[in-house]
Amino acid sequence: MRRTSDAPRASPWCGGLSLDVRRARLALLLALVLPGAVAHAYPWLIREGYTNCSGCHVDPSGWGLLTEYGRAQAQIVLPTLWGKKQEDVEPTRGIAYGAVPLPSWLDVGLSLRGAVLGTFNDQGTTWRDILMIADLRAGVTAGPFLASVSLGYVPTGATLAAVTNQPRDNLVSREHWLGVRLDDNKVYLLGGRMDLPFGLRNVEHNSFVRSSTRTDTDSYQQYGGQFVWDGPGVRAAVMGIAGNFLIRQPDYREQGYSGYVEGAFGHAFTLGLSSLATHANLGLPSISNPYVFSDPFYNASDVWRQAHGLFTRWHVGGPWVLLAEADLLVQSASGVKRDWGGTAFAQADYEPIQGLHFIFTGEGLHQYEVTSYGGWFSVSWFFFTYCEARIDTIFTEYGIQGGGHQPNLSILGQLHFSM
Amino acid sequence: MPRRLFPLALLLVLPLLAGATRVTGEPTAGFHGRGPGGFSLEGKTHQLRIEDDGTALKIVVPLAGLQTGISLRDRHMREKYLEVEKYPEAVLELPWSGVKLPEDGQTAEGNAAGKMTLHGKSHDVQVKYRVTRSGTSYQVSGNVPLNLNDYGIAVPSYFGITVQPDIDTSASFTAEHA
Repeated sequence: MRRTSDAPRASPWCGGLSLDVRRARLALLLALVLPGAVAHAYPWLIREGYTNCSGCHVDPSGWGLLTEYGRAQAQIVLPTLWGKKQEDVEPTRGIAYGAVPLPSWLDVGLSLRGAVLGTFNDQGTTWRDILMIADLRAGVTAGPFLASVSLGYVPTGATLAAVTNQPRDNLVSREHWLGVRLDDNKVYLLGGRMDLPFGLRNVEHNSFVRSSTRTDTDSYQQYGGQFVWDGPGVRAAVMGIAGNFLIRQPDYREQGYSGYVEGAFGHAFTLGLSSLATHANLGLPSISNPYVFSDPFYNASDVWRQAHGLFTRWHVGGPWVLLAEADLLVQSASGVKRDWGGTAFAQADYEPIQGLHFIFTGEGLHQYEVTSYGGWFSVSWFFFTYCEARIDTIFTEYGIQGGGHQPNLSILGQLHFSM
Repeated sequence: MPRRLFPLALLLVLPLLAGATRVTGEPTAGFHGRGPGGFSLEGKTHQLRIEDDGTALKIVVPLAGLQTGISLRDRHMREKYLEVEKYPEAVLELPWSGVKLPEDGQTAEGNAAGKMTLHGKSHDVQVKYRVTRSGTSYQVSGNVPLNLNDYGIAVPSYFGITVQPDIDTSASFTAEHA
């Protein structure tokens, strides 16, 4: 939903469009404030004592397609149980509330998310409805062999994951990879198009930490090979990035590495370190701040991009979970002054009754010599098995090159069905 | 002491010895299990009592209160695996002769031979312990590795995740010991 065909400049990686700057800026702003366009990335599940992700997800670093165990947990620990106790839940096997049985080696999932977005700023008020995600996922876990693929439709956006090449109405495949797992599932070797292992794998793909590091789960997946260690107390992954081959022009593809190592100190606290460095012949534009009108690295040659940082997940106790991430951002290119920046994200998740989350988020970004910051208040309610309603109120002060800030308020209501 | 009074005196003293050690504060007992990859689970209870007959210390953990953070999993653990209605307690019996108690203000660590009774079966075990003394107060922590198969407990398996039979049990408490 972010690097849409409505991008504010020509889009050489997807065919090229040039739109009126004011309209384009608004479109990009709309794209930026669409949270949660992907399903299943809930680092606050550390509340249940889960510090690793591989039990519930086919991808050992989390997100996306659920395993058989993950589908059961999605019925037990995620939704409001309406008077039932967890211990009274009898999870159904298969999918579609048990109507479709699956063999144990096959995982299938479906994610549908629709939204209504209101944006309020000095350019006016806009309302629009959006189909944010409509993805079908399938995966295989047969002995040591793994595979996962997703295929979906988006009317706009996600062009970096588009397998078709239209201005609108594209088919997207956010991930498709094969792998093996060894040593009692502690070691994984994966190859294909995958999420980048970096930082928190949070659902808010447009948060500054995800957009500025280009590590979201919406469309920033890359092709490459990945080594994952998923052991007791420590998980780590490093991916050699061969490039995003869904970008049609090879010069814009990034090569490099991305990885993290995260230690679990007990069942309630983790601390991780992430690192990423990529090189591209030509620079893609930043989309973190729509009010950066002059991105010095866009179309610059010999572009190096680095991000290094820390992240943590902490079940403080009872209904409270804290998530935080801070990253150093460094970018350089031929003939362009090196840019030093940083981004930070802190989120408190309060779940007073099972399934109902009050989420408080603060974030900041310093890049290209401007500083932006914002706050979110979100209510997410998993009101029934596989069903979520969510409202986000997002206030952001975008820094403007040359000085000043542009305030922006967004209200987003979503309905999400995912199984 | 006249000889005929000795047995009577012993009878009077033994109950006093038996009550010589008691738990103060909130004790904790639990287990740590592992599954495939980095999957792990932890169970915990604050119900623990000790019985001391002067020759051995018994650490008794009622199992009905064990919690893992997910109550459905707790129910399965109680009903299907530990069978708590039939076998309500885990008991670790530790002869005093094998335990080294520290001097006041000191800490002692060591390994001691004990006997674990769980799920209706008893086995000799090695207990790794640490005791810190402050006057008559002793802070005690210890752990015992054990294998579920040895105790006839079915290895937990749920929706494709199977827990390894080797688990680590632990307890920590503060006790007054006269």
